[in-house]
Amino acid sequence: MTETTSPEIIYDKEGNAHEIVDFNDDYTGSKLGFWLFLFTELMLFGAMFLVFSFFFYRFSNDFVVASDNLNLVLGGINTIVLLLSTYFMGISLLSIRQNNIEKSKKMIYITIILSIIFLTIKYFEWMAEIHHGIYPDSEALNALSHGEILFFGLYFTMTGFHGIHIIVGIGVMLWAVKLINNKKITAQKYVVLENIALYWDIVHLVWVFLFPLFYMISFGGAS
Amino acid sequence: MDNLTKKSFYDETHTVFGHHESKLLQWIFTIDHKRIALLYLVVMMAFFIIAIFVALSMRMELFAPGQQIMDPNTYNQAFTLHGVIMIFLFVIPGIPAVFGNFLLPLLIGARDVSFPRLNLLSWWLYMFGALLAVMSLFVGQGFADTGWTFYAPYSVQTGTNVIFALTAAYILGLASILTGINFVVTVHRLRAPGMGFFKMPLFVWGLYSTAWIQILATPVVGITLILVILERTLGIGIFDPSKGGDPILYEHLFWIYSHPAVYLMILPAFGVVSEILPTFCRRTIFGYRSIAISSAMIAIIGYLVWGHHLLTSGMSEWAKIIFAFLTFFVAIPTGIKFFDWVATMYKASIIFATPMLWVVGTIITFAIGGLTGLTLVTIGVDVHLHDTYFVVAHFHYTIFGGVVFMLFAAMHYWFPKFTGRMYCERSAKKAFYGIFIGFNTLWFPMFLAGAYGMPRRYFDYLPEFEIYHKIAGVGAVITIASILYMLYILIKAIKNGEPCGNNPWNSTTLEWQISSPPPLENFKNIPYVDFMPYEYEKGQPKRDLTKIIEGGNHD
Amino acid sequence: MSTVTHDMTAEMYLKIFVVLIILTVVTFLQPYVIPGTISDTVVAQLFIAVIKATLIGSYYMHLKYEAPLFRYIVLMALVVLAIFFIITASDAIFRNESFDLFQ
Repeated sequence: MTETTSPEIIYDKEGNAHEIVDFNDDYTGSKLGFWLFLFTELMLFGAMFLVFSFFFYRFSNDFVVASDNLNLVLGGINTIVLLLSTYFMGISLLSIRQNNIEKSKKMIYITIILSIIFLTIKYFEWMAEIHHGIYPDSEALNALSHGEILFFGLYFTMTGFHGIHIIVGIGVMLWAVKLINNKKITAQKYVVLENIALYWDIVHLVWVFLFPLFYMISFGGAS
Repeated sequence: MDNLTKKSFYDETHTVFGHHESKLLQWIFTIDHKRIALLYLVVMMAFFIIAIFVALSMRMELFAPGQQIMDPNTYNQAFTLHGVIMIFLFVIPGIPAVFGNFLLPLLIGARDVSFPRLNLLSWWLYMFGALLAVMSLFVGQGFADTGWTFYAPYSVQTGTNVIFALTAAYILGLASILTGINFVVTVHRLRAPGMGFFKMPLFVWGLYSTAWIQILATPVVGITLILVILERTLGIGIFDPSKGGDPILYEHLFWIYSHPAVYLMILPAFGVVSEILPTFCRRTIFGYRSIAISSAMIAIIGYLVWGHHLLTSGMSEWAKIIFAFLTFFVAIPTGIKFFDWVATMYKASIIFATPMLWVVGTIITFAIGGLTGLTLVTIGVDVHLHDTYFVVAHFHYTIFGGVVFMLFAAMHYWFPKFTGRMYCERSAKKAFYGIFIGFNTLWFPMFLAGAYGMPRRYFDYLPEFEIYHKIAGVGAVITIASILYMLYILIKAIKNGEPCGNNPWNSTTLEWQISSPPPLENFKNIPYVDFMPYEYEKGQPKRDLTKIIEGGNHD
Repeated sequence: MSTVTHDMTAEMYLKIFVVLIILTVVTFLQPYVIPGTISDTVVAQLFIAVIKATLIGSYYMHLKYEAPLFRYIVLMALVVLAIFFIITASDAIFRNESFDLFQ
């Protein structure tokens, strides 16, 4: 790892040298800081899953009935799309470290396209519910059972938050491409791209739990 | 050596957007942790003064039964405003934002925090959240009237500006999270070579434990407040019983953050005690390891006790028992600290300078506050005491008598380091006694009033409670007058105080080995630290690091 | 200053990707292979999700190759989250049950 400024060295009583960490160029520190930020995302979605679990326990059968409304095929496609996108994000990170700048950018673009596909499918899923009159505080929804009202309330809220995180992710990836072009992210200084890949993995992780809890529980109950 | 002619961080700074001519821009775009600390201090004290005058207006309203100066709805807004300002704008940023920012790098031998620009962003987010809160006073139906706890379903239904207040609280939460991230990484990455975790000053232990709470607990209240906003705007239904929702779930989510939040407030305050005691007892602290570990234990166990705010809410019996037991448990590490502190003072040659007076005051008031907390968490007793003035007295004894007292202590202890001057000791002592007497006059009667049944957040009351309110009202006036006097003394001393050297208290920790006020880069040479932080020999610091730090770097 | 050895290769990314795809297929097949009550389905689905999460965390998020500090703090965050779930569950499950210990 090349450094642009010479490191600060101090000596102890035995004359051993110790290097002072330069906070302006601290790879481990940047990664550590970003992991701590990811914990806040974990807690944010974790609290929403807590709310979901609370009401799923209380209204199990209603949740299963409501879950049947969701489109398993579209949800499944989205699962594969998102998984693919994290693979390409990982390859992008590998490429930049191997100084393969063009490939790294291409991989980011593929990730962005896959994210847009995900959002598009999500949009159609939402529209399907809304066209049936199912949206928060709608007359049709309020006429259903309590469990179903809460299921859809949580569905829109949680997939909505997830979607916002994807949109922000797309923006951040575009910014990453800009940074690569300006040589701010290079084969030696790539912690920003590594952190973005971590962010993207968290977004995927949330979906790994969202999908079974919202879609697959429709199989629950004796078949 | 005259510190006042040496170049300090007041004369030069690093800013985020490049160079500026204007002094104002050099302050509000600074990325120097010391300046950011002062930016927080100025704004926080302004809000503190506003909030205590709101409280004074409440005390005046309650001076006699019936309506005096405001109607019931305004009263509800007043106690909400008082709570929101005090909690979100004053005590939670509190000691970490001012003294943590200023001192953390100094105490561990670093030149700044790990992410200086993120530090500035935290301050800007704080300002933005504060602005939103203030704006909500003047639009629509005025400030929220739900209490700072924003309980559903009232917070979903009331017409006052709840969304403003919730958004402000969310943004302030973001500022808190970013500071927490900054401090954890700084402690892990920027300690001076040789300084292991168990050689760090205890204030750093307090800040580190606090920072973890900031990171892990704040997002939960963040999402909870957003869920209330979604309830209000979209009608999702999770807190609405008519749709199957559960208001008790709101209480769970809210207190999952807000209980750890009070540990977020007190842990730095305990850290300040541990810094001040060795200096004025002229000896090392008793039980360094146990105090350090107890900070971590309080942080961890503090995540487990939130349900003691829900003991009368309708929660399950099992949950109540679990929470009550865990809350008794969390008192143990706190008790360990108190015993260690008293042991430090035992047979010591104590210098009763003002910071030491504040510490002794806190040991008394926080002990009362903490023990009355145990009274409250006894489930059967809580049925009588929940939502009475007993609770109000309890949390003011702990938060004001613990956190704010230590904020005042820190303001005196590190005043010479911040300004290069000393305040007037005699006047500061008078201010302490005024505040201490006023404090107890104001809040002790509330223990009695609460035990006899006076409910909290009530605009009016039965004649049998009038005597308590009158005594409290007198106490409020004494307290506020003394606080203003204390601030006046400190502000006056900024310009007129007696110049002092690096180390007027003759203390051992690293911040006292550099000039007062510190230079921009803190240390000319970072020392190698292979010693404990509070080593005194026959009442004198065991070593003098000034030569190493200012001169060459060999012994 | 930090000597980070990056052990993730393109082959590893692909291998883990394939495993995750297989697990996704298993997710879909599970209700047909193990038909059961709601609890059975939820437990099975979460079990698969946790395996996926562990793989993603260890490999894609590099935790297997990071300094122990990173693993400790991730564990701590997960433990805190688990505590929130467990204690809240003690309310959710026992909400309306009376407590007759001192009967």
